[in-house]
Parts: sequence; C-alpha cells; structure tokens
Amino acid sequence: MADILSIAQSGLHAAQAGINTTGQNIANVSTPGYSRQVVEQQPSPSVQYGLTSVGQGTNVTGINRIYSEFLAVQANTARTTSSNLATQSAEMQPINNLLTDSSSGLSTAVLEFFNKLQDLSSKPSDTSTRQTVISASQNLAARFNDAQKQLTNVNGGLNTQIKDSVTKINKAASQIASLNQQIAVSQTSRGGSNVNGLLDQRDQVVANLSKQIKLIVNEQDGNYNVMIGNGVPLVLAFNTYKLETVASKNDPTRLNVTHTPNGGAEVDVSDVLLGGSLGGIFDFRKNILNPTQNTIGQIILAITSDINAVNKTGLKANGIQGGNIFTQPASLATPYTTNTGSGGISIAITNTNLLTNSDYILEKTGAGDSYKLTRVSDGVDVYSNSALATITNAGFSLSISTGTVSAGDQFLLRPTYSGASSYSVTATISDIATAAVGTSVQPDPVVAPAPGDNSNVLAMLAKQTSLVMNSGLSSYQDTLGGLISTVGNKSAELKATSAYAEQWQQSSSIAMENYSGINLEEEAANLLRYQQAYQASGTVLQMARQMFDSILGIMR
Amino acid sequence: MRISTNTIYQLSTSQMTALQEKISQTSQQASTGKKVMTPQDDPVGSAKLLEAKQAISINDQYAVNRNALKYTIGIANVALSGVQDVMQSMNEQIVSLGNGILNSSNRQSIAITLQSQLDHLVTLSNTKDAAGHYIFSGYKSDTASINASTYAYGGDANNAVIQVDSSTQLGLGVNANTMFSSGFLAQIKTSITALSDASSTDAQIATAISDLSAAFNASQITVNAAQVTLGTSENRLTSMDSIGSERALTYKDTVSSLEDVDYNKVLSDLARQQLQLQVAQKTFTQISNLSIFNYIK
Repeated sequence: MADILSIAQSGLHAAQAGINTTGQNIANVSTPGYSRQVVEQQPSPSVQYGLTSVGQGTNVTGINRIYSEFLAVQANTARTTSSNLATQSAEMQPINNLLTDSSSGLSTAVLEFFNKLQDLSSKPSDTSTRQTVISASQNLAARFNDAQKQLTNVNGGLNTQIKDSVTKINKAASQIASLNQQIAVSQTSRGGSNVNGLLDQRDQVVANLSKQIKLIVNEQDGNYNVMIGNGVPLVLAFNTYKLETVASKNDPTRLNVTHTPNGGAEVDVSDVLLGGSLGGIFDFRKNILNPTQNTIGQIILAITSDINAVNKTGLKANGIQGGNIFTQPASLATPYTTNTGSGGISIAITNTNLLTNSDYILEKTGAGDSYKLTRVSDGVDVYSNSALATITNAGFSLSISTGTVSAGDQFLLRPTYSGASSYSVTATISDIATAAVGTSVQPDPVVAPAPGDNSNVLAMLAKQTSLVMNSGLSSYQDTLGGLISTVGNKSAELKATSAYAEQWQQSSSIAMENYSGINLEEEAANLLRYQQAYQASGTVLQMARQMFDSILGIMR
Repeated sequence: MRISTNTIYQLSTSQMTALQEKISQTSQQASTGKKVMTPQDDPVGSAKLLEAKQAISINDQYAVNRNALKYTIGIANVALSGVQDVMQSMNEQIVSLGNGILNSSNRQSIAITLQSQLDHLVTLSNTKDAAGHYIFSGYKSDTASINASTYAYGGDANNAVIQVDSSTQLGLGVNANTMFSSGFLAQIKTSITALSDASSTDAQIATAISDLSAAFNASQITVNAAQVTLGTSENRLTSMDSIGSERALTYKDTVSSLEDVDYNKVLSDLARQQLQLQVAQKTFTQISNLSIFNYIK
C-alpha cells in the first residue's frame, strides 16, 4: 500500500519538475544564449512483488540542456567571417565617399588647376589670370591635404576600435576563465548540481568573442581552452593571457597588439590576429587604407613636383628663373623603435615617374655602407647589400640626416606619404615663370622676357595629359581613376561577400536557435502535458488514500 | 522541422529592415533624380564618370581658348581690312605718280597724302587688344609693333600659340613684320622724303617711285597672305567648335546615362517594395497572434 503512495508521489515530483522546467524555458524565451532544458526521467527499479516484480514509480535523473557543439562551432565560424567582412565593408565607407568626386573634389581640383593654366596661356602677363592660377593651385593643395586628413582620421578611428576590440577580448578571456572555475566548483562541490545556466553563459561569451576574432575552443576536463587568431593562447583553464595595445614599432600613429605567453616575452601578434572584426581592422589598414593614402600622396607629389620642375626652368617676368610654386612636405622615414643606432634617414624624391604606391623597408645589413631595400607591397628586395647612395631607381634617394645608423637598424620609408604635414602654396603671382621654356641656367645678364611669351605655360600644360606616372603608364587623372575603380571594386566585393557571410551567419545561428531555442507552442503543450500528469498522479494518490481508508474501515 | 519562437521574430524583423533600407534608397533616387554613385555602387561606372567629366571639362576649356584666339583674330581682321583700304588708296597715289606730267608741287601734295597713309598704316600695325597688348608684336606684346619714327619692327618672330584642341596649338600667326614686305614702311618714308624735296633730280624721283612701287607690290602679296592666314585659322577654329560641341554632347550623354535615374524603373521599384513591406508587416502581425496560449483559459 505504501508503494502506491510513493509511486504517486514520484509522479507528482516528476510532473512538478517538468512544470518548473517548462516555466524556466518560457521565462527565458528571449534570453540570448539560453538553451532549452528538458527533464530526463527513468522508471525506478522494480521490486519483487509476489511472483513478479512491479516498478517503484519514476526518477528525475537530470535536467539537461539541448545544445549541439557542432552547430555552435559552425555558428561561431560564420560569425567570425561575417563580422570580419562587415567591419571591413563599414570601414570602406569613408574612403568610398571620399573618392566620390562630388564630395572631395580631388579630380575637379586637378582639372581646375590645369584649366586656369590654359587661361594663363592665352594671357600670360595678365595679373588677374595669374591670380586665378595661384588660387587654383592653393585649392589643389587644400583638396589633397583634406583627403589625407580624412584618411588620417580613419586611421585614428581604427586605433580606437583596436583598443575597444582588445578590451572586449580581454574581458571575454576573464569571463571564460572565471566560468571555467565556477563550473568546475559547482560540478564537484555540490555533487553535479545544475550548471546549465553557467554552460550557456560560457557559450554565449565564446559566441560574442567569435565576433571579435577567429577562435578555436578545446574542451579539456570540462574547461574551455581558447586560442585566438592563428594559435595565440588566450585562456587555458583558469588562466588568461591577455592582449595589450602598443604603438607600432615603425609607425607611432598606429596601434598594434601584443601578447605575453605563459613565461614568455611580449610579442607583436598583429599579423597573426586574423579573422573577426579585429582581424578585419588590421586587414583593412594594411590592404586598403595604406595604399589609398600612398596613391593620393603619389598623385599630388607627382603634380607638384612636375609643375615645380617646369617653373624652375622658365623665366619670371623679371628675367629671373622661377622657383617652386608648391611647397612639398617631407616624405616619412621612421626609424624602428627597436633600432640600436641613433640615425635618421631622409628621403629626397628624384623622379616621380618611378615612384610606386608601396612603402619600403630599409635595413642596414652590415657594419659598412651596406643596405637592403625591401618593397613592402610584394616583398621584393629592390637592393641588397648596396651603398646608400646607390639606391636610386625607386624614384627617390636616401641620406643619413642625423646620428649614426647601426647594423640591423631598420626604417619604414613612405616616399609618397607625408603624414600630418601638408602641401602649401607660398608662391605669388610674380613667381609664375610663364616664359622661356627650357631655361636650365640663369641667363647673364638678366633680361626680362617678352610678356607675351607663354612657352613655359604650355610646358606645364603638357604634363596634364602626359603619361608621367607609374613608369610612363599613366597620367595624373589615370592614376586617380585607377584608385577609384580599385577602391570601388574592393568596396563592392566586400559589400557583396559580407552580405553572403551575413546570410550564412544568420542561417547557422538559426540552425542553432531552432535546435536549442524555445518554441512557445511546444512549451504550452508541455505545460498541459505536465499539468495532466500532475493531476493524474494526484488522482492516484487520492485513490490510494481511499483504498487505505477502506482497509481501515474493514479493520474497524 | 522544429522552429524556435525567436527565429520567427528574427526572420520577420530582418526581412522588414532589409525592405525598409531598400525603400529608403529607392525614394532617395526618386527625389534626387540621380543614382547614388559612389565607387562601391558602380566601380566601372565611377571611373567612366570621372573620365567623362574630365573630358567635358577639358573640352570646355579648349572652347574657352578658341574664343580667346577668335577674339584676337577678330581684332586683327579689322586691322588688316583697314590696311587693305589704305593700300587701295595708296595704290591710286602710286599710279598717279607714274603719270610723267606731274610737277614738283603735285608731287609734294601726293607726298603729304602718302605721309598720312603711312601714319595710318603705323597706327593699324600697332593695334592693341582690350588688355592693352600689341597683337602684332609676337611675344613682345608690350612693345609697339612699328616704331613711329624709324618704322622698324619692334616685336619678335615668335608666335604665341595656345591649345585649341586636343591635338592642335594655334596662335595669331601674323605679326607686323610678316604682314608687310621687308622695309616697306621705311621705303614709303624714303620715297616721301625724295618726292617732297624740291631739289630732287628726275633720276632720284624716278628711283623713289620705282622703289616704292616695287615695295608696294611685294607688300600687297604679304598683306593678302596675312589675311588668308587669319581666315584659315578662323575656319579651323569654327570647325573645331562644331566638333567640340558634338563631343560635348557625347560626353554629356555618357554622364547622364551613368548618373541619371530611369524614373519608370525607380517608381515601379518603389511601388513594389512598398507592397512587399506591407505584406511582410501584415504577415508578421498575423503569425505572432497565433499561439496555443490564446486557448489555455
């Protein structure tokens, strides 16, 4: 008789566990990362009952979460890819807008400058026409300076995002390590209590981390060990190895990321932190921002160098040879912070036609006058073991501007990029050498040229349509057009691939959600089912009592 | 297949967001009449657009240059027809000088007429443009083309050319030195001096007349040649103008085809996208009302 009571009681217990679990599921219907839980029930072992055996009711053996590691890994991989492409695509937008000519006016400024020179060719001695040329040259410098400033701002924005991303990664690392610990403690000390919530939390932290960076999770003894990028350990059981942001060793305006492995030295891991939004930022900076900055610099450097050169070989109205119209900023040559020598390098542009939009790395390879020049874009050593003065065929020459350079010292050379410094026009209307094309030596005595002599203006104009860039392959506008289509293509490609990646990410998340997420209809049905089970067990209990009462009545 | 409740909401909202984004883009196109043209929207088109706009700008600038040159040619033409008129009257004087029965006073009065014609030729040779530049002095636009006392050419042999077309540089091509045969104006003065001098011998007068006549005939040829040069340049400029405007039309068509929206397409897109959004919204509200919980009382 006692058996039926305990059987009914176990049924009531199980039904209550079911109702509670269903309630928990319903309560967490919109909790991110919550996996639905189900009650695992087993019949209690039967006991001998006369000639046969009868079951002893039911046992709630566990409340399990419905979670698929396989689906989670897929969703995380998709999330990493999608976030990587979306970040790059978003970063493209300022550059994309910059190169939409109506907003930046780069192309218009070039055209306007040459149009004003055309006007000057009709009226070489007219002061108001000369003034419009000076204004147009100032506008030309200003537009390109503005463009560079905007790109510098983009770089500043990237630094902020790198910091932000590193903060998030470090925070996730702490959370994962701490959850590892909590889960381990809960499982051992409280004899395998329900850790479903903690497991969900930890998986959710990993899912969020997968937006920031590519990751691999290995589960070992219930702990998550997390490697990020290409094999950088972030979490090992209860320990974290955090990232730090530092200024790049060859460009103080850029933040890089370092990592200190267990018992090791701090290393720059920027090149191996692939994937996710952090990897996207590094990719974008290296493959898009840098070349764009360099190409825009290359164009204005070529125009201003060519116009200055022509102006210097003509005569001004007073019979003196012309000087520079444009004042050019110095190209950047940054010594690595790891250098042992004190030396500085200065770059002198010698031939804008030979310049490329690549950066170069200069390294002193021996004790004597021996240098290696590596082109960054394709990694080719343009010079190896060469005297500094013999490095000439890349369109610039190099000299030691200060201090001494030690063997092994390296410099990042950016011939076409001038950083924060900008182009300016200090020339006035009388500085334009309109006359006497090809005057390479100052005539003695000084004789004022004829005021109608426009021959040097024609020489300046000839530059507009000549193929004076990229080793005689392109004109100024060709190079600008090339930049626009390169950026446009890259931008369109990123937009398309990030849209596909977004869909992939959505569908893999949905697959996971459909497997682990709550369906309210199902929960409603479960609610009814457990309610009925509860009522049924209650009836069994009631019946047992009645039976017990009848026995007592007989006994009375 | 099992579907989670969140999925239903997520799918519906992401679909509606995507539709709203499309509607915003389309309505922007409809209101501006321009496609949103960033390099990303159309990489090839953007580069083409840049090229076409550059071509338009340069083409327009060549037209400006041609107008500047046409203006100078116009002034030069006026001066040259004045020269032709003076040469015509001068011819009459030279013919009458050839008439043997003239006496000394007849010759002196012809000499006076010749002097005023010479002065007129000098004035016409020293024609200036609106900015005060001598147009027949080559590069030396600040120097009188003909010196009023020595009758020497003050300019130089240069022809200031400008770019009038992608492949053509053209200048006035005429200066006071090429307009008249060598020493013509000085010869007129020499002959005037001989003719007005009562003590000149017959032989001296005969030489003065024949030298003048020879120089005159030679200059008629050069003046005619100068007029032909100007006429030819003017014709070339006119034909470049019509080629230039045809080119401008082609370039503008290119720009328009790249930049302007097709209103039929945009408006029908807009109507379709609006309908899609309405359907999505209605479906969403209907689906979200379906629940067993409505029946658990």
